[in-house]
Amino acid sequence: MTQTLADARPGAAVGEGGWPDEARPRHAAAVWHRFVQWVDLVRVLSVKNFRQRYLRSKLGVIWALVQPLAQAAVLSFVFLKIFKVHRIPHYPLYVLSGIMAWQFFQQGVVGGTSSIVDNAGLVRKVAVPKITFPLSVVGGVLLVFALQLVVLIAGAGVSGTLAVTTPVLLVLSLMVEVVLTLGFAVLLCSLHVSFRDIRFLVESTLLMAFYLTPVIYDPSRLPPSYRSLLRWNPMDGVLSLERAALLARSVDWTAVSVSVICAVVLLAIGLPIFRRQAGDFADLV
Amino acid sequence: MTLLLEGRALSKRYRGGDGSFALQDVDVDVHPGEVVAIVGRNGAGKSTLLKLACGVTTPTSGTLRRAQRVAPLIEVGAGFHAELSGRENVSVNARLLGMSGRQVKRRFDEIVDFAELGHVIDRPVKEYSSGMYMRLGFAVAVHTDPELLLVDEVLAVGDLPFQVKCLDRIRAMRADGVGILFVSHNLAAVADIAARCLLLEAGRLECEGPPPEVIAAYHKALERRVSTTDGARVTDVPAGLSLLDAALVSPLTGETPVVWHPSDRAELRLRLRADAETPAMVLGIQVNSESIGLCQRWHPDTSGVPPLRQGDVIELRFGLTLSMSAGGYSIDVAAASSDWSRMLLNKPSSVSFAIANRSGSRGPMDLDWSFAATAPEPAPLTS
Repeated sequence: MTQTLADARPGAAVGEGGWPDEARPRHAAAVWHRFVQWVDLVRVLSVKNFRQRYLRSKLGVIWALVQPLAQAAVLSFVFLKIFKVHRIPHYPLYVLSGIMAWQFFQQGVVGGTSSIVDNAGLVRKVAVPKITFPLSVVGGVLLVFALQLVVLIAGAGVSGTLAVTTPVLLVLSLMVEVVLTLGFAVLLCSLHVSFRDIRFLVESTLLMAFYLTPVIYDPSRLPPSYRSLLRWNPMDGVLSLERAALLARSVDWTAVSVSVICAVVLLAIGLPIFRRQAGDFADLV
Repeated sequence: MTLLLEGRALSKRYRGGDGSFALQDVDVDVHPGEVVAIVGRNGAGKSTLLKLACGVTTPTSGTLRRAQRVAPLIEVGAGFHAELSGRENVSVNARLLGMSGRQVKRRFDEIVDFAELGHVIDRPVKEYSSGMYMRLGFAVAVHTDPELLLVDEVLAVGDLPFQVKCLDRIRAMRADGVGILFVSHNLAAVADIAARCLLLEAGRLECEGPPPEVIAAYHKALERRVSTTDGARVTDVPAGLSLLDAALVSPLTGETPVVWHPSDRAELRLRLRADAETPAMVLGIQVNSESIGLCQRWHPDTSGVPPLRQGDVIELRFGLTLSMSAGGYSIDVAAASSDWSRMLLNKPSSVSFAIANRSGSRGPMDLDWSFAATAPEPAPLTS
């Protein structure tokens, strides 16, 4: 039995409401052990979030595929058959990849925003690092997306648009999207605890942002002034990378740079705010 | 000996609250192998103290030092997800409490055995009774091998045999040097297992010491509480009658059994002394269950009670059948003047008692069934 007492001064060492004994682990091995354990917790909670979403439905996880496929089918029908727009090659796959990546972002940001409040029971009663909650929400939607990726890659295989660069670009687009989603989630959830309006604000903003993101249209066909404006949308770069991977299109590196910078800046702002607020989460939820 | 928990001058004012202190200037120590109970009314700051001890919230002022391995929860079963199976919940919950994946795997069977839920472990926990839910939560919490265990009302739910098992487990942990800080309204359990007891009152430490003394002080504090008798508005301390003695005994032996059985006949005996002239009174008797709260409140017809002069002592006897199922119960006794204008007496939890399980019976009531089957009538002969 260890008999050491971990220092915990108000506000400082107990701080963030981490593991209670986390305050100041002495040995690198102990720190590493804690970290591994925590990663395991994030993994288990992510799987739980993923399972929870489809638990009560008969088709279960199949819905993760049916929903976007149906949406893509309707959009393809409308644009290809009714409006007879044939300017984007492999339009069904183009729109499906857009929808899936957008849903990842949207569900990650909305779920992440309310993650602290949604887990009020745990936040108030169990001392775990609070960052676990937004992380495991994003982890849960990442699992959904992983499943959808199988369909996307199969689609690209059928279209004959896979290339040697596909894996690299795909991993890159995933990394940027995960960090970007996390950046928004971490920043917004610390605000959401004190200002519950944030959730509605986020939901309605995302509804509009959908149309400002090239999910169903091709940005390269826009007039240059609109095109350069659209590059400020951080999801533009993510979609550009993803479609370059799946549809052998060229990467818009300007848009990608904007996405990366945006993701990093969001995390750089969000994490310190989160850390400062986390100690009060249990009081405020 | 090193302390497992050392809190000094702890104060807590909740962010976003009304600005009042939930806890003010409270010291708390837990030594290895020591069981410390926190008692007090609702809102006295008991849970706040546990939350500070466990680290879910930070003190507004004061210092806190604690052991390395503290079970990081204050309520067993916190974070269980209703749709997930018992198995999945154990896996998630144990990790939340700081167990590694390997530990969870190694101790899973032990946890399930302890909770006695092997037969339903793959069913979603929404199908569990509240007792089963608590059993699973408690089982996970005690298998995380903490140095310091913090628990809120762990003994409130669950059937009697399991409560006995919990108490045994707590004793075993105590023997192993684990420190336990717990909140309970079950004063019998507090007196039984706690070495020390803290009484909180409006966020302050009212007194601290051996459980019998602190519980007595708590009872005194409770007398100032709003009465259980309908109608009478009490703003002051009830006065006029004293309850000298209250007991629930078997009408056959006159003794109090350790455990009652459903449908037992019992007799509630109250000895009252009139501290002032009492021409007439209204009595209020309330039976409470630890798990479901109010069972029955009623006002016996006291028109036959003779007028009392100052100093008179009277014994009242009430016969009753214990038509409740297994669990812990308490009886509150209150009296008011016959026009309900003045409280004469208010004694919450004058008597507490436990009823044992009847096998194969569920639900809050025990209706004392009888059963008979007639002899089968021979089938009419067909010719």
